[in-house]
Amino acid sequence: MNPNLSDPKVIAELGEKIYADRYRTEYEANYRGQFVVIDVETGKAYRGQSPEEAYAVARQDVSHGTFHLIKIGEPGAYRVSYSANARVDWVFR
Amino acid sequence: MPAWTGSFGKSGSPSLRITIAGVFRDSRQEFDAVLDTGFTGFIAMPVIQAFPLGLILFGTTTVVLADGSTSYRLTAFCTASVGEHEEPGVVILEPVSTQVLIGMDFLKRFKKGLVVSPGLGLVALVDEAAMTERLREPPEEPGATDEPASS
Repeated sequence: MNPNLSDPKVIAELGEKIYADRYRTEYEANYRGQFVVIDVETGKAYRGQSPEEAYAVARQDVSHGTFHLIKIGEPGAYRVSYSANARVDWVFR
Repeated sequence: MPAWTGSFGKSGSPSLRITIAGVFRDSRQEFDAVLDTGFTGFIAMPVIQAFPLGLILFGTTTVVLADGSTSYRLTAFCTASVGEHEEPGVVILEPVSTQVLIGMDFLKRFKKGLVVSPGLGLVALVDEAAMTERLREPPEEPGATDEPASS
């Protein structure tokens, strides 16, 4: 697999897949409600009580990673009340 | 009670003037951000308005929309400030919106509670500590007011 890491949709889908394959079972049993960032280039996961803490832990290990943020046990890291389901794969094209 | 005062914008939504900065402090900008209690995050802003700020791009995240469906967004890192108080946090970059939003995590980080009264035209963000103290005060005794009793 040679993912196009300039496409946000590809990064997000890859991050979700890595999380589901390697971490979901353990993390949802033990760390529900915490946040995890997945480095989609290495497959490593970094946890924190908040998104900022998870990112800080990740940046200590990888200075130039490509990260996908997940809230453990939830379908999304954030809930929004306003947003349309907009395309996000145009940003770098 | 120590409070920040907001306003009702043209849309009628409660809003607060905040400053957002990225890597380059000189390029920070003020925004009238709408207070959105249905948004669980820190700040959401149009991606096009984020470019000049020099925000540090982190990656992506998944958001749950109002209809329960999910969608992907880019995320970045910023420092938000109101007066002398500033807090770092994650910004969701919106591809099509035109409005800067502040959510529940913004209130949590700045330790503020929200008081909104459209009838009075009042939008106030009150220190949680002061709010807790006020709520703990015992209720006034019946007849303890200065108003004369009606006959």
